[in-house]
Amino acid sequence: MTRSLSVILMLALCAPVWAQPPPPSGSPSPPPGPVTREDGQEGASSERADATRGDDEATDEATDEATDEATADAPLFEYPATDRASSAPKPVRPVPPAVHGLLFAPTARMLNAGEISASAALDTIGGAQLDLKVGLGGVAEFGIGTTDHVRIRDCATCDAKALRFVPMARFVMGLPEHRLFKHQPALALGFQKSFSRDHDERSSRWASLYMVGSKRLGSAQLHGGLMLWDGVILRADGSEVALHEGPVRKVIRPYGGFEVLARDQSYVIVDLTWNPELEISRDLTAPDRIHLRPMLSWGVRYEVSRRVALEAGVRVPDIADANLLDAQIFAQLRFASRMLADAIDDLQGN
Amino acid sequence: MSLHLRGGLAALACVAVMPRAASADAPAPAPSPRFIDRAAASRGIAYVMLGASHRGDPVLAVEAAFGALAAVGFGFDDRLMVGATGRDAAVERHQVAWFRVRAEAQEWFRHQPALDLTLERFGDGKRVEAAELRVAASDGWSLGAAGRLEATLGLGLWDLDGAAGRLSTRPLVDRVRPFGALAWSPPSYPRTSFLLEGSFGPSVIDGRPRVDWRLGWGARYRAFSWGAIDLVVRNREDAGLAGSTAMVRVSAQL
Repeated sequence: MTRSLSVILMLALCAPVWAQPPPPSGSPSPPPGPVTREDGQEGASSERADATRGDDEATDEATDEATDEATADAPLFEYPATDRASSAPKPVRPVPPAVHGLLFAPTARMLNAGEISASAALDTIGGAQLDLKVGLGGVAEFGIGTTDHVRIRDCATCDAKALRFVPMARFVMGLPEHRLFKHQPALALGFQKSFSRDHDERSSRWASLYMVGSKRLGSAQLHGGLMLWDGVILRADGSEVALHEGPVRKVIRPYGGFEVLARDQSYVIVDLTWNPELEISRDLTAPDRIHLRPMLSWGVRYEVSRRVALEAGVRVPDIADANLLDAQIFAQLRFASRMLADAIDDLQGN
Repeated sequence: MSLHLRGGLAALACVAVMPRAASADAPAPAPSPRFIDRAAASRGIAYVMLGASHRGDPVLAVEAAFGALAAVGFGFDDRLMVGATGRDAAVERHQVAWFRVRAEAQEWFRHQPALDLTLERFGDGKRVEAAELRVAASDGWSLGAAGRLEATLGLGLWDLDGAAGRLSTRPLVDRVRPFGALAWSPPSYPRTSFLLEGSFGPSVIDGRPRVDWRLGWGARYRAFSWGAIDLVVRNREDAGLAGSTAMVRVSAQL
């Protein structure tokens, strides 16, 4: 497991270095200043702005494609212009859809710098899930929230119940699509962990490290990756059971899903991900167990606007035994804001 | 023949005669969003159905479209039967909620029927007693002098909880059941449809969960372009004719 972790971390840390465009042969090395056009605007950034210029009325497809192409052409780092013309028009920021991704599985699509996204979900047994995240520099994301995907059962054949409002935090870093090379999928390395939660005379917590790729294909987006799970149940007597005590193959799981723009503003989304299930033994002489269960979700996202989306669908917490009685119908509201990003830009005088 | 059944048949006859006053040249109404117990895979903005059986068991279905692709609904249902024997089983009232993803007819290819994937769960907020995942295909045809026919066919995967265990512990062959429904509108009475439906429904007999057959039949009169009244009868396995249920339902759709 340590070796696998090291490989994943090394890949993630090396990715930004590989992302540097190779210097042109025979030319002096950096700094690669901005290309100045005849009209005095910055080449790359204004091209990106032009390519993605538009407002909320632009179609999703057009804006997304333009943003992707612009991202592919843009250098990783832009140096400030030395003689910025005061009369130069203020570039229009691209407006990619801020609400995207799968229903519950993490993806490699990240928020732009300074963007904030919040979501709240309710299901038919009164479960709730909250999430708040912020984009960091366009290459990372930090989020906090609560989840009720972790379930508990008293025995292997007992009914499982959800562990409500488990607080959790998440950090993701990655690269957008086309950044390293053309057709490169968006890549992200994420880590999410729960805070300790007391229940059933025990305390439990879990964490997962995931590597995921996301690729746009026409009106569809495909997402796929690997999750590495860990979890601990700590009893009051000090004894504990940890998921990492088993072989690595028991804690690594593939996951993925897709989004398809099936109608105007409406996406069909399907995802498969994994969640820990805690088997709590009422007999204290017997050990507790932690299992990973596959969760299948499908549903529809309706984009009310570029910043607000409604989702509804079905979540089957353990699809392995085709147990439909645990299936939940959920509704989720997603909201994104650029207020923080705009405030930062204003402070910087952009 | 029981008094209830005779009452149902008499009401049915009244409904069949009633549309004579309506114009026979009226345009064909919109496809039915629901047959008796089964919804058609058609699209609408909203649908409300309210009814009761002769035993006083209420039924309510409220559905609203969610974008162009999906719909969510909730209500009260009278299909779950619980009892010591199949003959004595009685309706256990419960809430239902469902989520549908659907594709309109001919959306993907010519002659493609409307398609629908639905998860429906029965139970209160804390406990689920039954659930069905089903796929359905619906279409309608104008038969010229023979009127108009609408049909729905589908397959459902059931799960059901009982004191003696869960249906999900049994093989798939015990859990997958087909269903089908027809609505025929004769040309002389374009506002009237005769309904026939065969399906399976959940029962818990002596603690053992099972899905048993249901046969529904009746008539629908579309009094308005947006509203209809149904008089239907449902027969079920092990109940005999005396255990038939007559129901009256009013519905509105947008």
